Amino acid sequence: MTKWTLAVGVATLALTSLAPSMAMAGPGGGHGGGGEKRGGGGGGGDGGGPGNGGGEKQGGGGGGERMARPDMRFEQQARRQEFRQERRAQYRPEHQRGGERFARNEQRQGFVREHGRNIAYAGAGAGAAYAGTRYVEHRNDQRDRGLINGCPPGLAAKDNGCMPPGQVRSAWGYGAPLRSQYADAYLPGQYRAWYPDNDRYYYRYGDGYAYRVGRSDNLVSGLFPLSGNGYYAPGELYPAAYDIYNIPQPYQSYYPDNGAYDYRYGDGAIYQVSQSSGLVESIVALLMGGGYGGGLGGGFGGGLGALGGGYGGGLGAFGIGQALPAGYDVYNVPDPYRDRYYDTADENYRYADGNIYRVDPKTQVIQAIISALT
Amino acid sequence: MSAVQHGAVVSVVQHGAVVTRGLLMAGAAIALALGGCSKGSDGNNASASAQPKAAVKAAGGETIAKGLGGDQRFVAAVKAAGMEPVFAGPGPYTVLVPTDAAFAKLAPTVRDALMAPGGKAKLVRLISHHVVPGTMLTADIAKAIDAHGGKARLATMAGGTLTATRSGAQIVLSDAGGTTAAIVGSDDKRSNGVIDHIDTVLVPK
Repeated sequence: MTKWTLAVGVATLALTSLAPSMAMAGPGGGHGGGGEKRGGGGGGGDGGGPGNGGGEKQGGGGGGERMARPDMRFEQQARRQEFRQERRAQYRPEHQRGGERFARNEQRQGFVREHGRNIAYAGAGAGAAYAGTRYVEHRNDQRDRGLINGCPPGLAAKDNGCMPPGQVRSAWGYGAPLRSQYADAYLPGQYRAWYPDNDRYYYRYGDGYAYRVGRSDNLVSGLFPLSGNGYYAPGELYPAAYDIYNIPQPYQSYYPDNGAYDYRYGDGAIYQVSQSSGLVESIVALLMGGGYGGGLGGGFGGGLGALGGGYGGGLGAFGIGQALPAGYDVYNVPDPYRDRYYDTADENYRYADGNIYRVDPKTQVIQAIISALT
Repeated sequence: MSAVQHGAVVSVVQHGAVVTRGLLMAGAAIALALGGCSKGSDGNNASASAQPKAAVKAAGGETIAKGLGGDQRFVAAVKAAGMEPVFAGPGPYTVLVPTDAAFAKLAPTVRDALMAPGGKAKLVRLISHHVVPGTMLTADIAKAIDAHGGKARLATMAGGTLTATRSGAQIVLSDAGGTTAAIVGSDDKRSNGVIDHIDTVLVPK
């Protein structure tokens, strides 16, 4: 412990000297609105959906201290709910932030972009709310005249992609019935194991998003993108639009929400998020997630894992019967399991995200999945 | 510059009793270092406490985090990126740690971009580019190279792929950006993975 503590302090000094320009680089501007890599789609939402204020685990009854002090628990939940609704009200849709990841998602999800303007959106689902919107990035465009923040004056203050207030609720999915075309669209590949249906919710897939739907009312109570190949850097706001407890089920015992922090999944990582500020405090785990190869041809947006045979895999590529994504040539089974799961002429074993995959060496097709989390 | 940095670091290590001051300096230095990331200090309160008890227990006693003590620049980058808990958590990961000398030869333009305000996400991605899932020993990589016609592909947590080949007695990793790095030293097996060292920073494309 002491060694680590020392290392941190020492290393920080090393970093400071490593980048002398940093000290004078920044004007002190906020980080929250300037994320370089943000996923397309999503955003807004009024937070009115059932279950929005707490995670499944909490909703399921919690435990320990929370159970012993129910009044405090409810009071805290109420405060958090209120805070989250405020955050959602302040939330700046990700498509307005610009940046590298958004650009990539535009290509994947069918944006047609011209002169900084999203003039069409070919997809459906959560992001379809952007169809027909007229967000304009460049103020020097002749067509911008009369617009405020790219919106007609009456809609500019809403900060929701210029949508009239009445459309926000249904457009983002919160509180709205699940789109009929998603009713039978189960989550692809390993995501179905990450987010199994339970007594309170069932999960469905649509256009890159996981939808959490309440069993009692069949209304969407949360949604989040399954992949985006970008990280939320510590110090940034975790997107309020995706703020539900969405830790993959195998990791939930490690990362329950607690009195000070929430844990959230997104973009290949598990984040510790401050309940008071909504800021990402730190990254606590890295996950391979969808298994697609980060711009190397992985299928995003409709590739229900069936694209796994291609280079880079597909969204949800780690399912039985699917080809293991590229990049798993090397045996990487964790130490405690090496004596049981080792490569032979007929079976290979590879590890990712808490699972050991038994793979046919010739076809690379996943034959079995073995949990390797304690 | 390198010698000066090392000198500063060593002096702190030798005066190890000044732990509290070191920690205070750490927070201040990071906040200062990240300049425009005004929330950076808030976002860098990462510590082992970011890992809940169950995760700490699963990580075991001799974690990657504890094994990185000598890799001062990598640790500094990890801290700046708010990723310290990753290496104190369950994993398991194989971490390809660039040596301090590797960081020292990083192109100034790259370094500035990583450390500039708004560059933290890039820093996170760079670090993730040096992490592969599971426990991957050097011998495993060598075996895979031989089994796959001289090249073996390694998927990184950042979503890219590294290609491992042999170069004489060394194993060399190359990424999509054309950067190559040789694995130096031997495997350091930890309770939540393994640490290997490389002689060049792999910058994701």
